[in-house]
Order: sequence, then structure tokens, then C-alpha cells
Amino acid sequence: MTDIVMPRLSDTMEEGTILRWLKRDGEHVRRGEGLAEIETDKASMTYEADREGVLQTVAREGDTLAVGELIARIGGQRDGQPPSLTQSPAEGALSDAAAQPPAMPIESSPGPSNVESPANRAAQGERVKASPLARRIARERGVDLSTLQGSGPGGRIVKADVQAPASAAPPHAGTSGGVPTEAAMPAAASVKDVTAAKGEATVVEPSRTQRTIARRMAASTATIPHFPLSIEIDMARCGELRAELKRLSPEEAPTYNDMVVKACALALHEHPRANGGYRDGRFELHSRVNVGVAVAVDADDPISSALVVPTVLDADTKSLGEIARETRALAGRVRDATITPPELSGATFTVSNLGMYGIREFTAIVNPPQAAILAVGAVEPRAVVRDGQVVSRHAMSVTLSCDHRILYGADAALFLARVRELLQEPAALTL
Amino acid sequence: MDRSHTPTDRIDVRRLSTVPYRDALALQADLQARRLADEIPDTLLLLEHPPVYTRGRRSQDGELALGEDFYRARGIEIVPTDRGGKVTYHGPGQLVGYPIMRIGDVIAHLRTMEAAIVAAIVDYGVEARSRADEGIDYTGVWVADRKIASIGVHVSRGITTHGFAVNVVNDLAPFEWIVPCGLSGVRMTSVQNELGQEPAGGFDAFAELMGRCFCEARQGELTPA
Repeated sequence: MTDIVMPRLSDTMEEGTILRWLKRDGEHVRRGEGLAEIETDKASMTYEADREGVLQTVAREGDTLAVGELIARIGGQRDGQPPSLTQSPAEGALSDAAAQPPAMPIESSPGPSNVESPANRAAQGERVKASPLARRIARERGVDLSTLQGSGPGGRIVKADVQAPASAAPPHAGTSGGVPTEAAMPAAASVKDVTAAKGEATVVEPSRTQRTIARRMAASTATIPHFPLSIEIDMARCGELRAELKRLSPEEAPTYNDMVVKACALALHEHPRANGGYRDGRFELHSRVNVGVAVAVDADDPISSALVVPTVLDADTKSLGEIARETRALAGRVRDATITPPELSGATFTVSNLGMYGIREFTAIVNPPQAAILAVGAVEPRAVVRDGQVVSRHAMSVTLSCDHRILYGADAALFLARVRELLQEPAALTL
Repeated sequence: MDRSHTPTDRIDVRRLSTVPYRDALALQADLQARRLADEIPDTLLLLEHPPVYTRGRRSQDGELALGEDFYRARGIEIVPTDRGGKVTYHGPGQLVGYPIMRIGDVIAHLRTMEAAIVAAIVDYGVEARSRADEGIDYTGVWVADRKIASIGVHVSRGITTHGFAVNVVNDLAPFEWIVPCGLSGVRMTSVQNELGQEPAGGFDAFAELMGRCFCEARQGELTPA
């Protein structure tokens, strides 16, 4: 028996979908014959058998599986069985089912000692609904999926279902008396190694958003010549404005961050390169000013926490109140996961605020192809010198990270100075 | 790498006129067999189709929401296909490109098509972009959040069929009658729609530029960065 796994059709492929089996379970296949149609992204591909034998399908049509997951097995000719017996597909199905003694006993008695055997996984794959991530964790931990109750849609087994029992039952992969298969070995080995050195490791497959963040941030840091510029802004007048607006409308008062967004939008309008992007060796200068506001998702969940950036479109033409309402609504939609892709794209500049966590100042990574991102710290009382006297003022530090390919020091400094001017004399924000 | 799998850097660009969808399928099958046998080099077909909805392998019920009779009454055929992706529309004024090529990396092939289309459209001053980073439902080419070109390919024995469709001067209404690519709420656009007028030189000039951009993008894919 040879394992057939989800093929890697591309360097960047992470998972694929079995669109259609071209051969039936139990059918005899020849080398070069199409086994299945597999889809990844907007491409479908005919996957061909690389050997002759009897096909035993594991994944079902419509299943989406990670690259390397078992999708089928092809049996060789066993016990001197002449190939002529399998010439007709119908006949082949019958004779080969009988010619595979290992498949039958394992299906009827899944003993715990051979949880890791691919045959047993095959048996599970045919009956148990589980997410690819849950399958992987189960395999790595030696959990038998058929013993679990799925909490996902339609009883589908999800990550949490596998993790719960795994913490109670230590992995016993690779300790069975049976011969470990090639497929089981690497997983078992990695669990063992990690366990010895660093305690039990939970291997987590990042969500699509987390993968996108990883790729974009790495690309940004690797390819963009970043430089940061910091400035301190006196927020006393903004504080007064906020108190005044709060008195008028307690529910809808803008936050300091809304004021920063508005101030940036007005300043961006005057600094087209700060509002632009560097793409394919050219400056893209945008006619609209769309400010993205970084929002943490599931910030309190150490595993699934992520980051999305909903966009306030045309922020330069919107009133402070509109920006406040819109930002609040967008953040709400992010948190209940009802946000739509258009609301997450089209930003020409990003504001990232960690002030609410007490962060005084930080440097953010430019979100390509944007030219810059503003990192906003906490508004706090600070000792400042006014007219030769040290006085306490509410102030805030902000740091602009710039892509030096499009936004240079002097222009960026003028932009930041304008943002400061607008926040220190915030009447212009209310126009 | 097996020598016979080395992609060629020569591409035959063949400009056809209007070809019914099923005829184009047969033509692609024939060229695919000949490409497989190395009787022909990599080939790009550029053509138009009479009005047709084609359904991909991931098509779902409800994509053709108004019922087949509605579409047939408007002279639009419905054809199931073996490409990836979901339902889409083809019609006169839309430039369809079918690269019949020996490729290595299928997703790189998708990105090459996107880069080629972006290059051609940007040449007309329209801010086209790829949104590959946003997930598989965003494969294609976009202007802001409006979709201007669709992509879907099939690979068998390392040879591609199907390809891309760029809305140049076509009527966009038939897209309103379906859920394009299974992505509800997507607005389709065309080069003409974005420019507010027919592109300079008309459809034929765009087709010629598209052919050139495709060859250049393919060169870029094969040249190590």
C-alpha cells in the first residue's frame, strides 16, 4: 500500500480541495491515469497516479485538506495476484477488497495501539467529519478522531475538540508495538523532541488572516527601507474639546484616536506622498484619503488573536462625529466577524494605537504598499516646559514609520508637524 | 528537472475573432494534446465569446439565481466546464485569453496572468491591482473593489487550459444577473467603464497590448529575481 497525499501543486499552496474523484474507490488504476481533480486557488488540476494498483479513496469529494494529508492509497499486487484479475473495474473492486487483509481487521477493531496507522486514519477519514487543522493536531497527538464528539457545524470536529482530550491523554504515538509507518514517523519524532526540550508544544495552524499578516509584515520588513520619526503632541486642547463634546452628546463623543484619524486625514490631503504608495517602482498618489484603523481581534485569546484594519474611506471629508460613529461601527463588525472585505481594503494610510494598553510610544511596521503608518501612544500627564516653567500637561507621543522609497525625512516631518498643529489647535478638526 | 518540463520562453500569440464557447473548449483540448506532445510551443489564444455563462468546478446552486429560462431568453448559453472557480460570464467586448502552456507552479501561473492584466490596464491610466493577499476569492484583477478581470485555469499533465477574461468594452449587465465567482456583492467594471469612454484604439489595440504584456509577464516569471 502506498499513501497518496494532497499534492503540493505550487510553492505557495497550503491546502487543496478534492473536486471530484476520476476513479472509484476499489478501481484498478494505471500509472499516468487521472485519479482526482484537485483545486487550489482558482486553479484545478488533474492529479495522476504515479503507480499501478487498486485505489482506496480516503478523502471525499468536496473535502479541503492541507498539503501532505492522506487522500487515498494505492495497493500493489499482493500475494502474487496476477494483474489480469483486475482488468475489469467491477471485478477489480471485488477481488482487491478481498486481497487486502489489513484493511478489514483494522476497520472492525480500532485498537488504541495502532492509532497512528494510516489504515486506521483512512477508516476515520471515511466517516469522521473534521477540519484539516483538527486532523493534523489529532495525528500529531495520536488522538483517535472517531472517539471524539464534534462541536462544529454538523458535528464536525474542530481544533478545540481535539485539544481538550489531548491535554488529558498524553501522546502515545510511536510507542505502539506495530511497525511505525513512514507517514507516522516524522510527526511522532517531532512531538517527542519538542516534549523533551520545551515541554509539551501545541502546534497551531495560523488562520488565513494570521498567515497574511505573517507574509506581509515579513515582506515589509525585508524590502522596505523604514525610518521612524517621533513627535510629542500636547493634547490639552483635545482633552477640553472632548469634554465639551461629551457634555453635548455623551454617547457619541469622539475618542482621542478619532481626532488623530481626522488630523491625519487633513494633513494627508496636503502631503500626497504620505498618502501615496510605492508599487512596482512607481509612486501611486491617491486622490482619496482613506485611513485604516488597526483593530485587535480576540486580543485576549493568546492563540487566535489577530489584527485587522478597517478603513474609514474619505476621512478628510468626514466630520469628527462621522469618523467616530464609523470607526465604532467598523470595530464592532470586526469583533463580531461581520465585516466585509471592501471595508478592510482601500486604505491609503494606517493609524495604529496602543495607548489604551499604557504604551508610551512604539514603532509600527509599514503596511505595503502604503507609504507610512502612525503609531499612537497613550495620552498621559507629562512634565513639560511652558514659558520657562515646568508644568504638567496631557501629552502623547506618536511615531511615523515611513517607506523611504516614497516618503522622505523633510516631507514626513512637515506632515507630522501639521498633525501636531491640528491636534494642538483642534478647532479645525470640528469644521 | 526533466528537460521536457522546462517551460519555453517563446509564446505563440494567436488572435482569433468570436469563437463559440464549446468550440473554444474543443480547440483548447486539441492544442493541449499537441502541446503535451511538444508539437507546438506555448500558445496564447486571444478571442471573444458570444454571450455565455460558464460554471466552474466549485459552482453552487443559487449562482444562477434567476433560473435558466431567464438567461436563455436573453440569448445567453449556460455551459459547465472543468476549470477551477465558480460561475462567470463571457460576451462580446470582453477579451478572453487562453494560455495553453507547460507550467511548473500553478499559483505562479495565476499571478503571472494577474500581473499581465494589471500591466495592460494600468497602461490606459486605470489603477488596476491584484488582491492575491486577500485570499482565493480575490484572484483576478480589481480596480479599487470593482472586479475588472476574472481568472480560472485547469492543469492536466502540466499543461494549462482556460485562463483569463478582461472586461474591456462589454455590457456589464449580465454580471448583475448572477453572483460572479460566488462572491456576492462584487461590482464588476470594465476598462471603458473606468475611463468613461472607449479605450484609445478600441478593443483591438487592447488585445494587442494584452498579448505583449502577457509575454513580458511570463518572461518575468521565468527570470529569477
